[in-house]
Amino acid sequence: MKRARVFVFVVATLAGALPAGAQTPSTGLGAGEVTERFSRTSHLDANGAFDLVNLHGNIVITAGSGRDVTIEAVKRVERPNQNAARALLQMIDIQVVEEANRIDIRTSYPRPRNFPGSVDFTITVPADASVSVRATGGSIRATGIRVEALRTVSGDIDLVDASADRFATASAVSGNVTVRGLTASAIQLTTVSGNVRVDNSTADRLMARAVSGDVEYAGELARSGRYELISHSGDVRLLLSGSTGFDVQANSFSGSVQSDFPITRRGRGGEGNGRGAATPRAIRGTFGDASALLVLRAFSGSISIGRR
Amino acid sequence: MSCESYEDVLGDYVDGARASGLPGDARLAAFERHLAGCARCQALVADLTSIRGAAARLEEHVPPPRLWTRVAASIAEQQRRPWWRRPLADAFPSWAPVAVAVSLALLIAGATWLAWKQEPAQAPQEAVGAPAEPEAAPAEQPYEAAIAGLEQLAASQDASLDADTRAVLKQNLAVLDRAISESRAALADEPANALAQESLLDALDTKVALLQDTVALAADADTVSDDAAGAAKELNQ
Repeated sequence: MKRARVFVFVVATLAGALPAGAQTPSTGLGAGEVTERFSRTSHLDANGAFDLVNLHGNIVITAGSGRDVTIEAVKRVERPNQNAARALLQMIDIQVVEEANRIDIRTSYPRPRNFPGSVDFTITVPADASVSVRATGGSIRATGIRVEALRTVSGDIDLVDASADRFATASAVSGNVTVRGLTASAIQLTTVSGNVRVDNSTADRLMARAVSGDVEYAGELARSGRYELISHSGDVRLLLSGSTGFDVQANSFSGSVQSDFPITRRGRGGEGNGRGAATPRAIRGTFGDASALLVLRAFSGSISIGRR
Repeated sequence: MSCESYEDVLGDYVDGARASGLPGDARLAAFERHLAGCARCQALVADLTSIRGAAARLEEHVPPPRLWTRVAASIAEQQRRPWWRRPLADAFPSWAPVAVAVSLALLIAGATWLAWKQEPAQAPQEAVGAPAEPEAAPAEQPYEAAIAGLEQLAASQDASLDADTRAVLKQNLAVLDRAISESRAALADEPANALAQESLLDALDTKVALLQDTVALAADADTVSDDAAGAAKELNQ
């Protein structure tokens, strides 16, 4: 494949080799904190790709109306000795690589375990650019973008009014994953000790999973949609609006299972109409036209299906 | 005739077919005669009949949406990226343990079948009381192997991650270990409980994914030269 163009900007190098205009060192508000701003404007043609890897710092990404990609970053280092802080600041590299209608940003830090630096990003991308972000310590907030994958370890993920051509994934380890107004063919949301919340989103397939946190889905179900919501020790909650019927398999090992919808039950207990669970820990049956499939599972958490 | 020469009618027999005396049932009739004097085939028919019965009693399970979501997302992601850009974690996709589990099951089944075929033509009658074949590996064994390998890899790259990140990962691995322990305890009390089994596999699956991410994170963090790292270490004192 022919490369249209390749530009590599190594925008932060060692002290004394800073490109003028790109970065502005200054003393931050905190005692011993030194900051440096970085700005870059790039371009993506239709349906480009944007990929960011950042170790520490918060990330805000918003879809813009044009074709520009604006990258605003603030590098921070906090040390009692400001000279040392400034020298450490210059060791944080932000690399922007443009090639073949794709922009890759990488931040790299020196290896000592407790490096006292971070980079906060504020980014605008074209609305049709496919966005992937991987962070370690820091939150990710994305609005209006075409999302592909968002991952962080200890921060939260907030995804608002986004879309995906096919698959959208968002995963955290200790943080919460909150999604509002996401439209995609398939959505996968995971966290270990945080919560997962999905609000007014549309997908043919949704998988939302937490281990110790809660999992909540609020909104309409898609006809023929398949929803799998799982938590080990957290609760699983559905707050449904609209008239889409569903086929539900809800099981908790030691928690309760409850539905506000009249479920036509099936299984070993036989068929029958009734409100609520066939047993306190399981519901298997259908409601309405049964066009959506719900697989709800908890180990010690409880499961509830209610009306919004 | 040897045991393996009746492979073609073994399945029909287990499914309930019996010789009726018609010419078309000659093979089946021959197998019935062989079966009457062959302890090994009797044991095999008993095993297969038992497995068939157990399978028939299983509840129907709908494939979970996450299965396709994960497979499709993984395929899409890998196809989109050139190989040199793929993080190490992509080398261990999160559904890999499932594939390993399936492969292992097929391997065990194949090995059992081959062993049966390679036995002497007529086993002695005393084989009737022979001990049963070892049971297939539990479903969690492939996960344990993957976890052991990833833990080793993650430990070797531990120095690349900062203390806060390592602490968060450690805390969450502890959360997962607790979930695994609880599921195992539930299975010990109720070995046939499908929910406990699923919870165990969910927790193992998540632990594999977290360890994969840990390895990938360490690779992300480990991008600076030793010289820069040394200078930073001095300044960070």
